[in-house]
Amino acid sequence: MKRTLLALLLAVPLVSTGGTAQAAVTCTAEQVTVVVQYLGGGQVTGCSNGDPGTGVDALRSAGFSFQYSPREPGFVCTIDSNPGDGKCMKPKYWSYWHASKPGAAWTYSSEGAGTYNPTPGSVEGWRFDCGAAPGAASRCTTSSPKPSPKPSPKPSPRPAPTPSTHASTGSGAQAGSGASPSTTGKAGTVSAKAKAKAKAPDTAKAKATKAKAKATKAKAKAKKKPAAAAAVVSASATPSQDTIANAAASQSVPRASEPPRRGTLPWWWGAIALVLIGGTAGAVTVVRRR
Amino acid sequence: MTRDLHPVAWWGWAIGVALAASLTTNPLLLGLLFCSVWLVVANRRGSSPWARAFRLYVILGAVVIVSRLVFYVLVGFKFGVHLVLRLPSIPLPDWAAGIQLGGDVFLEGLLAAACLGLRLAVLIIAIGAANALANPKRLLRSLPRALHELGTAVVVSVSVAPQLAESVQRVMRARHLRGEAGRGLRVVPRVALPVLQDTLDRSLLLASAMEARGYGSHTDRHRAAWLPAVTLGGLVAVSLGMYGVLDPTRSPLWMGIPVMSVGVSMCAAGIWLSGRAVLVTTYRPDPWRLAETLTVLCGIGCAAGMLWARGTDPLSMDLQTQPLTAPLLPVTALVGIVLAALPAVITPPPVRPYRGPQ
Repeated sequence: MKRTLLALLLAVPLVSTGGTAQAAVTCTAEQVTVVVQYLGGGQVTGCSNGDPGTGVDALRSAGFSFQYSPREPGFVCTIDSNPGDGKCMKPKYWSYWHASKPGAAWTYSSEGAGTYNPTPGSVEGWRFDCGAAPGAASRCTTSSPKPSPKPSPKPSPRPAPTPSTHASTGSGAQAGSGASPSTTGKAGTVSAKAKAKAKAPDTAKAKATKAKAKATKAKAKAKKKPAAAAAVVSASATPSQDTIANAAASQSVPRASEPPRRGTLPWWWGAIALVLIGGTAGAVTVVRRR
Repeated sequence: MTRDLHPVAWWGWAIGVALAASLTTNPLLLGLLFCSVWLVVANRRGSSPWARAFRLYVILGAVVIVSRLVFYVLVGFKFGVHLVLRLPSIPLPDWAAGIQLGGDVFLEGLLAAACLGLRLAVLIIAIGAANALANPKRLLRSLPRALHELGTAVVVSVSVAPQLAESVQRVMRARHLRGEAGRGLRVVPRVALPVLQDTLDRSLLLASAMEARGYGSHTDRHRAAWLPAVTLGGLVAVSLGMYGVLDPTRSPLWMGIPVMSVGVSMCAAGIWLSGRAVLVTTYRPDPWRLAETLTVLCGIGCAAGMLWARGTDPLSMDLQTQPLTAPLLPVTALVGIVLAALPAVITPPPVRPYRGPQ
């Protein structure tokens, strides 16, 4: 949509071949590979369920949840609740890329993911950065790095399963630093996705895929704002294609009903206030007209 | 005691409310803001012609919302799960990629579009409230002295339109009294000439009246040639600084706030220095008292409440459509809205024309 055109304007070179589409998972020719790289370098690959009609359908059916910006519907604001603080427009945003096949060069999308129809066998890339392609070096200038007054969120209580784990917890932990890609496209490696849904301000439990890769549980302490953690685990198991697809598809996590947040009142308070103020205004108007 | 509030106070309040409206797409908050503005206007507007214009701004706001919805259905990006209207989608060629003509309309997208339209509507209505409450001619008198002549010219030009309408009405009434029939486009040539003559007569009358009162008779004793250069340089610096403020990532650090503040101070100095040469006396001064300060503070407080709510809980300030949930009411934003409604009671009532004993 036009919001993606805005995002397009933000990217300096419109057709940037910062990297090639390296997918950690091999999808079938009927599927669309979806590569998502979070802030901090964590890269997760999924396969769409069949041939999706649009880019956001591919994203959803590959096991990622996304939300549009409420003020700019059509502009993808968060993927898997990343970024947690809701700042998804400037300077970092989810850039949207296409590649004709795994290993091909990325091209910046000239169309929004809500209307673009990816061809089967192609690769879709999402990167939360200042317009860099997935796997490429970060484009964010380090002129105004955010000083992180607080130390990075508490490390996970359980030891990380494998040394090659890239886990990005919280937000801004590695902001601005050159986000290096984690996957190198080794044949046979599997990205098991550990997603952490941190909607309530308490511990976020990460669900691991049901793939044969070792199940990973990561706990991310979300402090004040809901943050999400994404962990990428490389394991040497090679499950069959449909297992991955099914596992990815089964990951559509139902959103739990949100608990009442502090400092807000339910909607019917607003309705009462609306009737009170609006009724007074109407009464005053009627009285003064006489 | 009845008196008209200082027009700048009304504008300060309205700009605060407009800023608050621009910060949210929550329909509850926007509706409450509209009701607050309506209450203040209903309780504190005078009987001048522009005070009756508030209804026009409300109609304009409604038109904004409706046209937003129509354009959403026509070319908007459709998303959501609750199907409302099944429409065929017209395929477009490749060069128009990204534009969706028609297509099924979902409740989520429709509501999001309506809330965005409502935000613009409330913003327009807030500015309309300032127009209804503040006398535009007296507002122009509050300009800095250097812009006094400019303000006078603007006042004269904005009073042309109502005078023209009055002229037309008068000529039509005279024709009617003389028994000259005819309506529509055919009478335009016969009405235009008397109206033109009437306008010219009025202009000459106004010019002589203004000359008799000393308008336009300024002395150039303090006016230095470099003063316009200071103001112009300040304006250039302000526009350069605006680039730096709006895009801090691609411009050097000194280009933002420093250049901007230098530009603003240069402009202020230029206007103040050239204003010293203009001698203006005030016939009816508009006093700035406690009520004016409180009104401006109410506007600032309204914007601050919204900003605070946006900073602490940004999700509650927008209508959440994925999934569609009932909007919440942030307490700080509600406090801001109550502040916005306060000028309905804390300001002195406006002067009403005497209607005689009833």
